[in-house]
Amino acid sequence: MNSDELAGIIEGILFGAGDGVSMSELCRCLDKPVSEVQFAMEILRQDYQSKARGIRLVQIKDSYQLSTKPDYYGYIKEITRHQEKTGLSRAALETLAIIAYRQPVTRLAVDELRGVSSSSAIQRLLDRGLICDGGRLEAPGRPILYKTTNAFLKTMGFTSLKEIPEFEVFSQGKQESFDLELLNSDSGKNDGSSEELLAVMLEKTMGDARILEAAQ
Amino acid sequence: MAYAVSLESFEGPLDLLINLIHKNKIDICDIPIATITNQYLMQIRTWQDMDMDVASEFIVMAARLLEIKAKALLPKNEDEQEDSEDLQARLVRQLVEYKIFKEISRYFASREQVELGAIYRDPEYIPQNTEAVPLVIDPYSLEQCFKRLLFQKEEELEAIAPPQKIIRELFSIEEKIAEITDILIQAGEAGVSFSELLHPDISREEVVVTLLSLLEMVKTSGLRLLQNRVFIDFQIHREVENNEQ
Repeated sequence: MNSDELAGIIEGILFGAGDGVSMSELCRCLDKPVSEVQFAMEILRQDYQSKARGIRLVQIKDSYQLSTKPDYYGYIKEITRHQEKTGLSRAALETLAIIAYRQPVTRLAVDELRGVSSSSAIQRLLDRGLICDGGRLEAPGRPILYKTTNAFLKTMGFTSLKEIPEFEVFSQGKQESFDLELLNSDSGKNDGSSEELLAVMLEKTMGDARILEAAQ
Repeated sequence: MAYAVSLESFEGPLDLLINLIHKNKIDICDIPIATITNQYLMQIRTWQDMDMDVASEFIVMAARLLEIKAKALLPKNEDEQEDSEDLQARLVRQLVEYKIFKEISRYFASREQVELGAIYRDPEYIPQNTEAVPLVIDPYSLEQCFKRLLFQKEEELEAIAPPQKIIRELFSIEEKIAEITDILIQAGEAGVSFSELLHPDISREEVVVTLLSLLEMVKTSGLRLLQNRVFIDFQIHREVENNEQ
């Protein structure tokens, strides 16, 4: 079994599982060492980076999963007729930002930082599974300490907590250059006008080929 | 009635302060406390004028600002635990920190927006050999599962429920009282019976409003209701004869 084949099998496993599959599970199923599976995974990842693929490889900590590419959502939603997904409210986002950088943290500490009560925002974040109970603070009343979950990483498109920019990036006014970086990468993604044209043309020629085939 | 709609909304007093500081183009570490306090109080007054509930947090901050302002005006007292500079420095620290988190929340929002465009597929349901699959259930995931089911059910019910028509209230007690008063004045001493107040094609709602209006009038403006026995029509009289004489 070469690496390409292994990559194909991994793709099949991830598609079939739907849910995230951990590296250790993959190694067990494939009966291969981690290094080999990781190498094959890298082939798969590279492959998905091509604009010709509508699927991407999502890694959250040690777990791998497939999803459609956000860049193509505009087209995909036409067929899935999904109800437009709504993002978090400003209050929830502020609360989540504080929990992400100060975790594990009590509700009181969040309230103090925001200057308003955050209990309803915290409840919404709990309901959406973005934060969870991370133990108790050994203080009077033993308040709950909140921390972020893997669902938080997934929602924000982070692979792990290590990937979250350091607090200093925002506190030392570096965010301007940071924003610029973000903008550049975004524009890089969105200059798809010529790419789209190519895709349409490709689809057309493929269709023609199919018709030809059928005719023969 | 005209409604004034303010498009600006603030997550809290810190959010409002940062907005004011930004509007005045001043450095967060060098706040002219009197100016900012005045503008802050003006904003709260505007909200109150618009009949909006102002959250207590905003009032607490107003008190803090006034305390800083007052202490800055007074001569320094050596015994004082915290003078105005300390208080202001504490507020500034809070503002700086909040501003950073606001920045981060914007960054999170932009990332979330991208990720909202990703669709994941649910695992296909294939009957499994349940004996071979160890069930790992903790109360939390069970709760999540249950909530998800409830939510789905709710969505289904919403989807099949016909759209509800919201009917405007056609009759108000105030208007009905005025109407009945007119009728009673015209009727004079004879008064009117309850059935006379009800025209043939009256709606149930209007009957209810009429009865409620009568009860209200008995309580407030001296009305006498006479009924010979239960479950029959009753006569309505004004009790104004004494006053008029």
